[in-house]
Amino acid sequence: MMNRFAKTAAGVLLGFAAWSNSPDARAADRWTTGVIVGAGLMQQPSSQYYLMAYTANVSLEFTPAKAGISLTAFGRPKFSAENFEDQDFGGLAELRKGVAARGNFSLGASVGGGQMRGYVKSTDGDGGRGDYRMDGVSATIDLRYETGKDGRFNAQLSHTMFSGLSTSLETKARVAWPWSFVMLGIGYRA
Amino acid sequence: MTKTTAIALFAGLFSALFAACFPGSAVAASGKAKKVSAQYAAFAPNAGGQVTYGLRASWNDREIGVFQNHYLTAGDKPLVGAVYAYRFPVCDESCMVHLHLQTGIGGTSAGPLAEFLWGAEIPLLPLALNGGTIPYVPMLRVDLASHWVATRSRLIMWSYPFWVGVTLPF
Repeated sequence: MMNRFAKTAAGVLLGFAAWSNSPDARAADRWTTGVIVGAGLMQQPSSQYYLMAYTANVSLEFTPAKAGISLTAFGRPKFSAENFEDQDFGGLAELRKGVAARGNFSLGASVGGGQMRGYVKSTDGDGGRGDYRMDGVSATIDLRYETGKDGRFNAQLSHTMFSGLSTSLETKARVAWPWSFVMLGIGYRA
Repeated sequence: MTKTTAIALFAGLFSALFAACFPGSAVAASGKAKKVSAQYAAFAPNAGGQVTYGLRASWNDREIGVFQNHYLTAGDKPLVGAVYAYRFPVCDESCMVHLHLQTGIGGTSAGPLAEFLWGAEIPLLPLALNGGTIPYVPMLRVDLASHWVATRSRLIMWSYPFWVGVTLPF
């Protein structure tokens, strides 16, 4: 899924980037593309542990409306203990809208969805492995600081909540699977 | 929340957000209506969800609220808290689905609180679906909320996925 997500995201953003840099679009100066990479903490459902994670985000923004498409990938480095290892990944597609700005700072809100997936693997020789994959909805708040010519360089603090969708049986029991992310990143927009 | 329900809900949210992308589509009616909301329960990663009562009042893009969470305890009693929040409309009263972001601060019986909340209010009368808020016509309220509570020993990040309630504008 991550490969498909990454390829689709890269294709869409590459296409939009090429188009947004075309003379007509640049003349109107209506579209910008951006990329942000960062790291921070994540929390899995039912867990109060804080785990290190990393993130990459690409976005296309319609400047007059301060709104656009935001594609985000999350990953947690492989963790190995005595006889097991595990890892998590995630990909989100969200619509983002700037909701407030003051000076070089701006606040954005995003809603969308995506998928989290991961595995737990036994390393003691029996080769046992369990995989999970969960689709869900997501929402993000981000605080951005922009600097440089036309605010091209930026730093961003973001908080994302992802909630895996329940089956009908789980819905009756009011069960959902929330992940949380807090990420600090730096980026470039043009 | 099943996939079908979520897809339907988010199709509405996406269309509302896309509508907001077109200049002139959103009139500045945001936050002018006074509203009270009653929240009953949120989902949780365990059977039964979280019984978590909330009572909120909003006006002029501000919201105050009190809540009680029977899923969490502080000193053997259900967690209680109060919050003061600022509302940032994402798609305001002119949209079919009213979307907003809220950031707030407050206190709980376990420690100080910061709230991050993404909320949707959906008019329950079809006449109101073309935008606007009709006084005394209830709206379904669905929140995704994240509470950061600084307890004496650690910072707790607690999620309220699909916190469901009813909003009454007047």
